[in-house]
Amino acid sequence: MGACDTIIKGTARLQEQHLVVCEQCDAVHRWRPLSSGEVARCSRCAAVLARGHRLGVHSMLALTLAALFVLLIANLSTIVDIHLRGAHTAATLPEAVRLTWRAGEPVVAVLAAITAIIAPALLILLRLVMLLPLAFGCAAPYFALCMRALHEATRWSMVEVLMVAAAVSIVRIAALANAQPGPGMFAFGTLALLLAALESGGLKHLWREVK
Amino acid sequence: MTALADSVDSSAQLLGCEYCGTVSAAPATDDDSPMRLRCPRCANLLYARKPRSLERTWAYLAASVLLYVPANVLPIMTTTNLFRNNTYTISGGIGELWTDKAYGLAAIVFVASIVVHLLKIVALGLLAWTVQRAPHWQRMERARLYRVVETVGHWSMLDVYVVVLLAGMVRFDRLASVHPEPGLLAFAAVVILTMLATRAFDPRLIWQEPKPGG
Repeated sequence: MGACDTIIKGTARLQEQHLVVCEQCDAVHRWRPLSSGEVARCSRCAAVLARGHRLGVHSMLALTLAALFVLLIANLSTIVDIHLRGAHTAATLPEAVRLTWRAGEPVVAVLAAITAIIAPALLILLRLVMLLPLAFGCAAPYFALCMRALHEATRWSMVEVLMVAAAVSIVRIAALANAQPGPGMFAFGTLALLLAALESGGLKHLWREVK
Repeated sequence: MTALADSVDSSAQLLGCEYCGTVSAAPATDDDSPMRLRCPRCANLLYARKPRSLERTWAYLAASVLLYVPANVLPIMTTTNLFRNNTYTISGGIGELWTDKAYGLAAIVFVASIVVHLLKIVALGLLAWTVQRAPHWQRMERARLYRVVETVGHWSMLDVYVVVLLAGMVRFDRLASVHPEPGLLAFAAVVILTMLATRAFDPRLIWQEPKPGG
């Protein structure tokens, strides 16, 4: 390509001015600290610029640890219990993905695995990797790389959709057999709530914790 | 936070990093220089605009429109029990929920599988078209429309998960079983392609002043 990478220098003056550029329209704003629960919107296009966060590093860490345990429970326990004439099946999500692969839809199986299992797991693990050192007052190794991976994982994680899909599938199964929600279903519901709480905590303010 | 137009040197373009929010000033360069800029804090690539945003948006959109037809016409799954085989398309599944009197769920699946898909395709087509043809028209509403598309985009995965869960859980051989069908692949592809199209579109284009004579 012949393109050269230039790391912009001489930005110290800009950083002292504490500016925020709107990601959606380029309008430049001056930063001021937000109080808890406050939302700053772009004066031009009304996109959310920043939120005042209620959670500090330690409470984020606590939530992330909780999410990790719930993630394990969600993936290891039954989503729906099905009874039909004395026969019984109880499948977990990884098992359902594996059977979809075997039924001749490997692409869909991989897609479901990425969006419902891998991305949520990655997003929880990456947050742990970054928050644990921050809680002890130092920056994580590869902080910048982790942040970028975290953005991707957050974009492709769809646990809340899976939660609704599980409810829909119970109704659909009822036409064929007797179906009861299992513990995995409630775990996925809890996980969706925990991830929503973590995501509302935002990502960018983690940078402010790094000296 | 206050708008700030004049107090910063306006000759340099200010770039905000997508990942860490650090603001840097792009050095003045010739237009066609191949220089890539990186954020001083996190070393992420900085762009004034997403590269080839409109071309990529149109390409993903065209692909998703092509696949939209098989996604809705081909069956997405077959259910088998002792008495008969039923194949379902997307709309057939919604119809079954409705006849089972699960009206709320039928409405949710209808919105997720049909409304969200159409909204994404029509809205992104409109956004990309207006950037080229009607740059001043309803900017605020177009900016809002883009944010809606971004927020609801992943809900169209709903039916893909339903089939994966059913295929994984209903497996009593001839008594009752569920198999995914090829339409599911087309449907999942439309979900991913429209999400990629949403991501390829650069909302900053909405606010860009057209070049004189361009």
